[in-house]
Amino acid sequence: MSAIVHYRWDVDKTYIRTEFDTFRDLVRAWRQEAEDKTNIPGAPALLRELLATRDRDQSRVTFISGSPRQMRRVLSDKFRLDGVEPDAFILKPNLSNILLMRWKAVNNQVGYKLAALLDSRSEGADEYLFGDDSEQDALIYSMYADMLSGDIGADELQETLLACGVYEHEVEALVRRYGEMTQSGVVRRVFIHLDRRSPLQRFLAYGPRVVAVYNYFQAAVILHANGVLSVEGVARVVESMRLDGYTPTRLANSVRDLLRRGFINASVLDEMLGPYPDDASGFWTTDFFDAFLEALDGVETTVVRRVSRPVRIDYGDLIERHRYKRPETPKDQLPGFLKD
Amino acid sequence: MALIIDVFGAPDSAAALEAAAHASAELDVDLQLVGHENTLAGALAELPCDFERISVDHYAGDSIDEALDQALRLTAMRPSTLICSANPRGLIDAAHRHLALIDGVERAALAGVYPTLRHRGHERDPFALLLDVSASVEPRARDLVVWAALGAEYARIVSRNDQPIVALLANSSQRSLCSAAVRRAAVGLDEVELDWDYRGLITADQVPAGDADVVVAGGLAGDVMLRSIEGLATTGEALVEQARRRFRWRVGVQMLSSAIERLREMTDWENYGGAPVLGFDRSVILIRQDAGTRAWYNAIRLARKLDRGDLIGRLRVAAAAAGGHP
Repeated sequence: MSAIVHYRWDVDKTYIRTEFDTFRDLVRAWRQEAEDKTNIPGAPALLRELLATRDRDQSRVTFISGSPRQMRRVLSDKFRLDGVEPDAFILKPNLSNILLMRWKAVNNQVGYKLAALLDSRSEGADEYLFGDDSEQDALIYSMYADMLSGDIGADELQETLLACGVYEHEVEALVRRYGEMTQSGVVRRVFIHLDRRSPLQRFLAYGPRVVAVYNYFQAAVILHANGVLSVEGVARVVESMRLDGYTPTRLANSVRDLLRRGFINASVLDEMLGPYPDDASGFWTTDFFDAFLEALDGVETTVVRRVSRPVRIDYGDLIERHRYKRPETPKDQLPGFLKD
Repeated sequence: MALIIDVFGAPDSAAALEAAAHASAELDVDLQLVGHENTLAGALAELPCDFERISVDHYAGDSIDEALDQALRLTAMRPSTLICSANPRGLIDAAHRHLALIDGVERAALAGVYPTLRHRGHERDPFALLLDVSASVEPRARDLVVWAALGAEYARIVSRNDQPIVALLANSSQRSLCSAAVRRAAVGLDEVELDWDYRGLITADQVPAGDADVVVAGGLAGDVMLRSIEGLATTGEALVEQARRRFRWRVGVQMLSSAIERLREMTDWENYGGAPVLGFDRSVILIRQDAGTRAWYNAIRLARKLDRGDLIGRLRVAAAAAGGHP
């Protein structure tokens, strides 16, 4: 592992639970104060634990958000409340985009986020990126990772950005930067929080670097398996999620899901879960932990598929699929007497 | 509460899976699916779904009966609800092997629902309950009395119908002309202090009108009654289709199309989800063999509603109150 580890986080739907599907949602999000904002369970705990694993000057935290710059005060207060101090916090210049009538730039995240990732890059760092499935984070982060490693051709980058609706002058600037940049540092993992519960299948094309997770316990387990997070750190993430109402069954199901997808194997689980010494204390002696072990026990898990080999990403194909729209659910046709 | 779904035994397992996937993402339920783990997990990965909420209990064999046994064993292990699509008689027999009966209940009853023009309860539920419809041997009077109490309590939870109207299905409104079991059950129900509305005997022609919210019958009579109602609905649909083929009638059908559509929607059994088996100390919901995604999804919602309404706890109280009569 290199000297610097850089954690990059999206904010809305990745770190903070935000609804902006309707105009009313947008107004509500705009009017909320820091203490009204709700975290995605486990997100602050995971970030704090990641930062605690090494000296602070060897870690970087950057938040890159599609929210307007006018949200800076509230979101900064929120990070303070969570005990998280970012090294950089980049917000989108939405007001100036509107005033300059750059409508594509208001809605489109690709050009903005990619430029922000490059602007805030730490040369030679190991990077862990956190996003969600409501926008195009998996696509953007993968493009950025391939730019760092030189695994995307300049022509392919240009075509992909144009297909994503990025303004031509921004595309030219990004391609020029790519040509001039030194390939150093590596994106180790991209975690995509499945806020919209998108199908897992959608993320297979991105290869094993991208891990779609239902919660941050899954991210913590993988980071532990990768040697980034201690088992005590995982326990503290679990504890914070327990306080947010997570049940042992849901956590056990999350582990089984990772096993099935091949992101961890049984030995990781064995190493994580014990056996613990007789003088074990804290989380390991709680009823919650016992219930978690019980929920994990007795159900055979077979591996559906392993995702161990890197894949060459076909960005052209992905453009068609990156904006997943959830199909209509049967609840819209529910009879009155079954409604809550 | 755990909700167990026997996906392996579902004739249309894709519909069951799609409903489970939607429910995992939309509803506050934990689902445990019984079936081939690789197949189920692979199929679910293509759907919007929440694997936090879903676990798969791997069934490695290829027997529908064995998979049902496995699902029932899981159901017996802890408070949970089973949703399955099985042969009704086979399900009740298998359930007797794995699940305990509620104290005071000696035979479980399969309930069926049928649409009526009269809506009931706070929820404006268009469906009335008919039990038992398992085509089993004729019940004793005591079974009929207990089933009446179970049916009334079920109607209270599902339709939020505080005073469900309960009646006994008979071949005549005169007690003296009825079978001994019905006669004795009617006497028994007269003697018990009830906190629901017992209306006495009801004949088959009164059933479709929805005069009663809960109709109690022997398994054979109940099965015949329910199939007759379903047959009538199918005939009605066929008549409408036939009418569309004649030009002059087609105009009339077209004019009535919105009313016909509304009627069709109201009487669509998929709206209900499934039929409950009452009497065991676990909730069991039976889905029709031709159930689609909507029926499975609604069955999951029904299961959640039964759990939140503490169906089993309330059935225990109801059975204890009705026990010993006649």
